[in-house]
Order: sequence, then C-alpha cells, then structure tokens
Amino acid sequence: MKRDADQIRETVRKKVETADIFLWGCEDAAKAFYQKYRDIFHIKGGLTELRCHPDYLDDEQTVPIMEWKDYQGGANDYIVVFSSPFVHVETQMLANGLQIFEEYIEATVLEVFLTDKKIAIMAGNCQMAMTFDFIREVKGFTDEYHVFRFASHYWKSRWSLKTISYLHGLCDLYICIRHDEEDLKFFSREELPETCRIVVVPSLLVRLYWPQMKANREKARNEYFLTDKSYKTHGPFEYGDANINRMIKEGKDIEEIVAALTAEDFYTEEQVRNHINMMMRMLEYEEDGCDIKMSSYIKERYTKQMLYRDMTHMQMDLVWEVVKRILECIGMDAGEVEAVRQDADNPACRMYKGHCTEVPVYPSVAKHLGLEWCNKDTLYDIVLYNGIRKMTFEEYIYAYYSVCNKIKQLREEW
Amino acid sequence: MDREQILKDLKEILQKEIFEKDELDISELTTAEDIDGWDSYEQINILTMIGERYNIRFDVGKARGLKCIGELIDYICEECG
Repeated sequence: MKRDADQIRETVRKKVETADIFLWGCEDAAKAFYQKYRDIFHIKGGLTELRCHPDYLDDEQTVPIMEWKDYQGGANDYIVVFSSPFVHVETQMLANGLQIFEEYIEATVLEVFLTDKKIAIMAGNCQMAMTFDFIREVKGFTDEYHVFRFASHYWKSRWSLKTISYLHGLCDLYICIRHDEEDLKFFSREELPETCRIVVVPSLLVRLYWPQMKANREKARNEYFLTDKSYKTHGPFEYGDANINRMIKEGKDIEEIVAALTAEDFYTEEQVRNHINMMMRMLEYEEDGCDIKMSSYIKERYTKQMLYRDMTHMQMDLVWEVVKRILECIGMDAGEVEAVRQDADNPACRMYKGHCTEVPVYPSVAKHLGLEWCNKDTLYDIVLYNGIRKMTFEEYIYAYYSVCNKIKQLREEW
Repeated sequence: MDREQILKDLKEILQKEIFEKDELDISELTTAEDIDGWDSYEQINILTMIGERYNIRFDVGKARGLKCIGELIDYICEECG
C-alpha cells in the first residue's frame, strides 16, 4: 500500500481545518487536545461509548459529549479517536462505513500530521521496547521523528492492522529486529515506501553469563515461575536455574545446593569457555546481514561491566549503545546520547531501574571468565513479590530455593 | 562424514538441548515448520550448537536458505569435507 505520505498529510490537514471535529474518548488526552486546538479547529463535540463521562469537554460547558449510539454523523464531520484500544473503536468506524484519514484518524497520528515530523516505526518485542523508550529521550531524534512502536502483543491490544498498514505506507524510518521481522508475520517491508530507510538490528538475546539457563527461549522460563498479574515488571525468578531446579527435584536441601553452586569449580574452565564461545558465536550469527553490529562491543566489554540483567534484558549502557549506533547508522549526531545516558533522572532510566531481576553470576563462571565487576559480595537487583532487594549470589540462591521449592510443594499438594 | 551419525547428533541436539522432547520425529525431510517452536531464534541456537559440535562456522545467509534437515546435513558434510 504505497501512498504519497505528503499528500495524505496535506489531505488530513485540510480536512481538519474546515471539518466539524468530534473527539472520541473524553478523558485527559482529549481535553488537552481541546485546550490546545480550540481556537484553531472547530471542535463540535465529544463522543463516548458509555455515559460515564462528564457532559462537556470544556469548563465553560459549551462543547457537549454524546453517546456514540446517538451520534448521527454529518457530511462535514471528522472524528479524532483518543480512546484506547484504538482497534476496538476502529471496528465501529469501519462498521459505519467510515474511511481512515478521510473521515477519522487516531489522535497521535493526527498530532504527527500537524507537525512536519517524519514518521519512524520501531517493530519488535522486548528488546525493541527498551530501545524505543531510550531513543525517545534523544531530543535530536524526536525533533526530527515521531516514533511508533509495534509488536505482536502491543499491536493486538492497541492498534489495528489497518492503521499499522497505513503507517507503514507513510513511514520514513523503519527499525526492526531481524528475528521479529522473520517470525512475526505482520511486519511487512512491502508496505514501506521506496524512500523509507530501513535499519535492521540484531537480536541481542543471549545467555551470556548464565550457562545454568536453558538454551531454548521458552524452556528458559522457570517452571516454578509464579506470575503475579498485578506486578508491572517482570516477576521473581522468571528465568529458571536448571541446576537449582534439578537439585530441588532430587530433594537436596538448601545447604547442599548453596555449597555446590558457590564452589569455584562448579563449572570447569572448559565448560565456561565453551559456553562463552557459543554465546559470542550466536551474537555474530545474529548480526549477520544486520545494519547494526554489537558483538565486538559486547566481546570487548562483558568482563569489565555487567552488560545484561538477564538473557533478554540488557543493562542500560548496552541499550544506549544500540541507540547510539542506530543514530549513527541514519546519519544523525549521536553525541547527545552521552549526555542523556549520564542523566539517571531521565524517564527511561527511572523506569528501567528495577525493571527486572539482575540474575547473579555463578562464582565458577565469574572466575573462569575473569569478570572484573563480579565477586562473592557483588550485589544484584532481585525483583521479589514485595519489591526489589539487593542480594549477593548466595542470598539469591536462598531466595530462589525458598520461592521455587514452595511453588513445587504447592503444585504437588494441590 | 557419515550422514547417519550427523542425523543422530542433530536429533540429540534438537531433542535434548533445544526442544527437550524425546518424541520428536526427525528425519532428513523434517523442516522447521514441522517442529513447534522452531523459529529464527532457535535456528541460530541450533546452528551455534551444531557448529560447536563439528567445529564449523556457518555462513548464516546460506544456512538461512536451508529447507530441511537433509540440506543441513549436506551443508555440514560439505564444510567438514
């Protein structure tokens, strides 16, 4: 679906300048939009699905809100959708024969159209989410681009395939992770304009410091992981320690497990070397054919600093490095990244702290890899059900055993 | 290189290391689509483990184009001489 992006923008801009605008969804975002544009556009009213909102969009009580079922529609009407999930509202728009951009638009997309910003799409799951959060802190980038992120689960809950398809057609910069592009079939390069710049980032998912994790991505999840839906970050012990789980099944007590795992020869030097060589090889394979290369950076630094929190979550420095390389790849000045990464108070850093557990590294692994940042007293952020706690490797084993052994017993009893 | 031995090794990697399923039915005609969970990430995992076992480094572009286990065995035989 190749359409002239500038023409669509122009059409939408002209429409909203002369249309009778209705805002679907009447909460904070819609009210903010109303305040911003009340003197520029003719905002005629608000629409809502259920009568649980105030009667007016404005304090002066001049802009009424009505229920969707009572909306008659007019030839000059234009609907701006604030409600989330958009896909739910769009279904109703389409059922009423309304056309995207011609008769309705999602609010964020309209806001972008009202600026001269280019459209960037970041497509991918967890890793791309971090990159997305961080790149939005770089002013030089956000001055030039408005960036949307789509991922499988996010797409289902927030957007509609139709809108994604249109946005693909308007996209100036498309950043994707090779795996996600290959495996999640709705990412289609065919819909991108010929002028769109594509940046392919490698998957950086790797069990770098953790031979105790299973190789298979799904099997790596802890069989004794108890999800707490109210928990906003990744829950406790999400990734399994195959050694502890095996020992729990064998009925070993905690003292035996601690003694075994804290031994500096639990993994031999040969085992650890084989493991790290495999991980490095994986990273090299992953970046084959990608525009961004990270394996050399990781190889040079993994002994000097902890680069990952767990096998799927990078530490912030590594995320910043990915952001920096993306900016360099598209010819933007990456100098700003250094300043932003130092600012621990920026929203992305604040949000990311305590996002997920830093999985502790076995003493035998630390010894054989010569990890400079790791010793028996190293403290890691461990996400528990009641918050985040700093723990040493040994304390972590006690906590892991305590939780997972209980879950095992509960499952056996009930 | 003995094709049967390579197939046996591949079965072991797929069944024990990657998918942890003893009942996987693997032959030279097996494709990634035949095995639940064999996505492009696991593909890289598999190539890494096989490469380690046979001490070969894959040309990833070429390896991505392999359509079935038989073609993977061809590739390994070629690389190992």
